[in-house]
Amino acid sequence: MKNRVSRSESSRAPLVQRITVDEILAEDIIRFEVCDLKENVFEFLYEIDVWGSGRGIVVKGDAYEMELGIPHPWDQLEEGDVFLLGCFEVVEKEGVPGCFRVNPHRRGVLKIDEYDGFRDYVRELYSSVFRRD
Amino acid sequence: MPDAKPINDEDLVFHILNVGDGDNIIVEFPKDVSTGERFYGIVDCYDYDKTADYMELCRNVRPARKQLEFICATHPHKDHIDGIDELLLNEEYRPKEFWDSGFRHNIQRYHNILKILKSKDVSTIRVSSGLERYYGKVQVTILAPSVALRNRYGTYGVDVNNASIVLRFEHHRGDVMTMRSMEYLGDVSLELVRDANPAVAILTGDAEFDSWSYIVDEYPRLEKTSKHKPLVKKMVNYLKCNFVKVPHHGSMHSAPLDIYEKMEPEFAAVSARQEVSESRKKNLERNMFPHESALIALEESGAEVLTTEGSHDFLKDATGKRVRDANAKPGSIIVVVPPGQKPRWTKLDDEESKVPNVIPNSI
Repeated sequence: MKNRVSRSESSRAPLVQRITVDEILAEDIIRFEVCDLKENVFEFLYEIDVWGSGRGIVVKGDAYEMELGIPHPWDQLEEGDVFLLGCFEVVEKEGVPGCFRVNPHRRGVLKIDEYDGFRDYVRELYSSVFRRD
Repeated sequence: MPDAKPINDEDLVFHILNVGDGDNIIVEFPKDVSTGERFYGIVDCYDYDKTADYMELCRNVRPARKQLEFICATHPHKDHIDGIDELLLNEEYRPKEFWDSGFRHNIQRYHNILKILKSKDVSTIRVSSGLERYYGKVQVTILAPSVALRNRYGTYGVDVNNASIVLRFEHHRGDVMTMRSMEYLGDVSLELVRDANPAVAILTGDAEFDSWSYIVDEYPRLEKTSKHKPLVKKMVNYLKCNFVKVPHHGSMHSAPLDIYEKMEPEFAAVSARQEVSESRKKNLERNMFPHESALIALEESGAEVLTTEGSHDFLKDATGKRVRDANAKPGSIIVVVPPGQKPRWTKLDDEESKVPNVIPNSI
């Protein structure tokens, strides 16, 4: 996967975040991992190296929407759910995401872990560690 | 605790680092006879900086080689793996082996670890119950995850905690491979000798009930009764140990009383930072780490308990009565296991983001 990289590396607030449900600690407490999209990335898909280091955030249910801005129902969150959040648009290819493009004029949330492309990426990443060519 | 004794070259040492709400354990193996050096294995790493600084301090007291023997990520939750990528990226620490539970979690940190393992060509093993490794007189046996659980990670709802790698360390008096190659010594079954060996420690990751149910099935405690002859000749209880790192930070789902009754630990360490949970459905408010049920189970087992945050420390007084230490402070916990002998332990005084002032050479 090739990323389109800007020649200017001006600093800005993260426009897109990758938020993953890391651990459901109790009915009312969940730890999320939040990663910011790297500053010089404007197009991406499922690859992991476009994201900065993930930080853990422990969130209580009553503050969840306000703190993270994900509209997904709290009691339906599952460990391993992955959301994209922020200023981006989906560029479709044959009915599925072909890439995600940063767009400061759009704002949205998308759950991406159930897309075949995401699963294929994880499967390939995991298998490659054990494969001995 | 009685008077401190020096840590000898043959002693196995566990360092349970105080890193707040995460797990971070350095296993300091006895001096390798061939190289004359100690060496380390890492079981979970939440805080790279503290781990690296702590090992440096430790090496000043007891020389050890920098290259790690293994890194074991018991399971890919963030509070167990957050510092592993930096350990892998540091050429001096890069381990001979990486032990993985096989559970594919979606957090960036875990995916990043996978990328580094691939790019640095680190030997990676998908670990499951039954695997054994031998380091001089130390035998490491993997008790979990069971193959049965591992084979259904992707289908029937095994959660990440129940994928945890559970490790059993047994520190023998003699060379462990020689012992394993002989079944009997005269008329005495070596399994009986092993059963009497007190130098056993169990590190549990975040294993919960499903995992423990398979462990007790695969490693049963076989008992003699006064009325019946045993069904088998070898009487082995692989769960019996002197030291246990309590699973899942002592949560209500950590391990039931039955497990501690099988373990009969003298000492239990809990790595935790307290969090309060409120259940509106059940109208409940309770401490999570450690939870009251885990503390009661440990009390029933009679184990002394130290917590890295200092919230629930129970030690025995001169009469053997278990007493809560009201002045307990946070700190890393050190457990020393001499070959074939009972362990001894102590607690340091380091805050979660700092290293201790001194690493003791006597405990």
